[in-house]
Amino acid sequence: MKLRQLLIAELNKLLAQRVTYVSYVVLTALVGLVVWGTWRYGLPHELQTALGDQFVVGGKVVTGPLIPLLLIEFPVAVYVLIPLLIAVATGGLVAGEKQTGTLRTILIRPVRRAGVLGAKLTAAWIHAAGLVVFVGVLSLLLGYIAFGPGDLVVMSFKGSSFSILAEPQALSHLALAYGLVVVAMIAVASLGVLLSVLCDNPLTAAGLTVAVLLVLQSLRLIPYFQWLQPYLLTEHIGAFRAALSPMINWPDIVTSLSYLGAYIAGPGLFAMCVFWRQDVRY
Amino acid sequence: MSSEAVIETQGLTKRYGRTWALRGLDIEVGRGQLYGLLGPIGAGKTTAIRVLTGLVRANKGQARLFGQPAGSLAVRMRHSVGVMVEEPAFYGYLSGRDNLELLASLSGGASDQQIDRVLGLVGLADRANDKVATYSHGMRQRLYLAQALVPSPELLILDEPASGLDPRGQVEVRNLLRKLNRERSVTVFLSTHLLHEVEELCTHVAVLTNGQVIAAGSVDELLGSRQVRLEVLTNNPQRALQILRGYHAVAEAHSRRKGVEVYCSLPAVADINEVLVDEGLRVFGLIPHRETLEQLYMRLTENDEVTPTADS
Repeated sequence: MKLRQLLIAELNKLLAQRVTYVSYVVLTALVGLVVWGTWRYGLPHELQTALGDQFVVGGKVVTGPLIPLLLIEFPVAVYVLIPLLIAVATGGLVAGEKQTGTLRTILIRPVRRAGVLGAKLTAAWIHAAGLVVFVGVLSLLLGYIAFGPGDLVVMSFKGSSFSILAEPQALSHLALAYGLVVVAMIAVASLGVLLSVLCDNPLTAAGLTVAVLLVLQSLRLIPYFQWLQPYLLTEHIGAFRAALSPMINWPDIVTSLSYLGAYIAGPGLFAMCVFWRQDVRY
Repeated sequence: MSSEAVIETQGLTKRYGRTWALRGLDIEVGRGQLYGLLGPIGAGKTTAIRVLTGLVRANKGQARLFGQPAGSLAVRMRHSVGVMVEEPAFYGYLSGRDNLELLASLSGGASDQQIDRVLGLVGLADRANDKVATYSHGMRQRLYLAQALVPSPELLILDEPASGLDPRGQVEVRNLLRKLNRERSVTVFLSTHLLHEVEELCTHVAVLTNGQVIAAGSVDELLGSRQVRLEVLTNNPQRALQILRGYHAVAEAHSRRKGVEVYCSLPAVADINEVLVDEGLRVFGLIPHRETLEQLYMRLTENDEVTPTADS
């Protein structure tokens, strides 16, 4: 009962903050730009090149389901923008409340610290999931409005091949892909909450969250650390790609979900342990 | 430990890094008392309240609220406790009423009537629907007191409750606390460095320096147990001086320009009057000057080298 009240309070706080709405405005702008760019210039260059020289395409290639695909494949959205927006929100959840003193105002009420942090974690997860679902739904909606229904042309990750998914199949694969991004962003939110518990300043917490993700992403690209690659969070943020081929790669998805589960639970439990013993002097 | 005690601490010790904030704090606050924790800035008052309310953990010692261990685990007890600690902190993007409703929801909720009543008590009814970001410091302080009163505490733990209030606001807060204590038997434990606040409001006081209590008891006990300086105005000061120097209840007697000055206990004042009248002197006035809390406080703390603690 108390956890539900705490969660409602956290969600109300999130909804009352301007930064939450700014996040949705930014994502709307991004989706709008992708729709406009596709309408103005057609297929992205890589897909156009892959198709143009070797195939004669009958019917539409640019269809409604293509827009959510472009957004999820657009690395800035999944690897930078959405994590950044999540980091800003999670930074405010604990470090922001420490800085303004409102954490003290909450903790002097008859509430358990575990409940307070549990509610904050859950609110962060809901917010992270909300951002991803918003991008998915809005891009699909605008895609259908701008380009109508149709099949989906999916390029392989390395751009060496492509497949065509019939519309119902395309929608279910896109739903699964966005679901995997939701899980990945929940893991980012857990990391953000942990750093928010460890920091006293929301900007530091948000900056650190993004910095950690950039470092992990950099490690993927450095040959010396290839052996680390299967364990990195950023590696599994890309798990959605396994859902975009005609034959869904379930073993890869299950492996990624296990790692993402560990990345959700690990930082969450660590944050709980730190917060449980932390002196609140602000 | 006393079963009637609402707050008890025994040997409470807290250290922030190398800085000692509390060094074996012993306090006992009885039910229904108006208890003042008095001390200079950095004495450890706020740390004591932080420990009692579970915001920080003590390194050693015990703290109990209503006989149960205080701290972050004492969730059930905190339903009966209203707390103000340090500066008021609210969600600026919410109205005063929304803030109160949000905080009350964490204490089991409060009806609209309860919220309205408390807002009226602290004088914020007119601005209740304005965003807290538009409030002055004094208004935030009033809202902070309001949140401590929601829903209905048996114990108020208040850290500098009159801080940031204008003189009228300070008087109103004192009157409100007196009223809550008188009408609803609410126990009030407040920390302050304002001597007159304690003197005017509190029935009991503990003087704290460097994280330790150096004097504690009822205000009357602390002040009344000391000698009073008595100005004696008579028609024959020389004779009065002679009589009083030989009187057993008088510790010291001196001749002064306007009469005689003697040091005695407060109950001895009536006896002195009787002795002088019996000797045929006309007594125009007996003016006792009791040691004020300020004088007591200055005397108790004059030899203390105040080391900065985490509160400062």
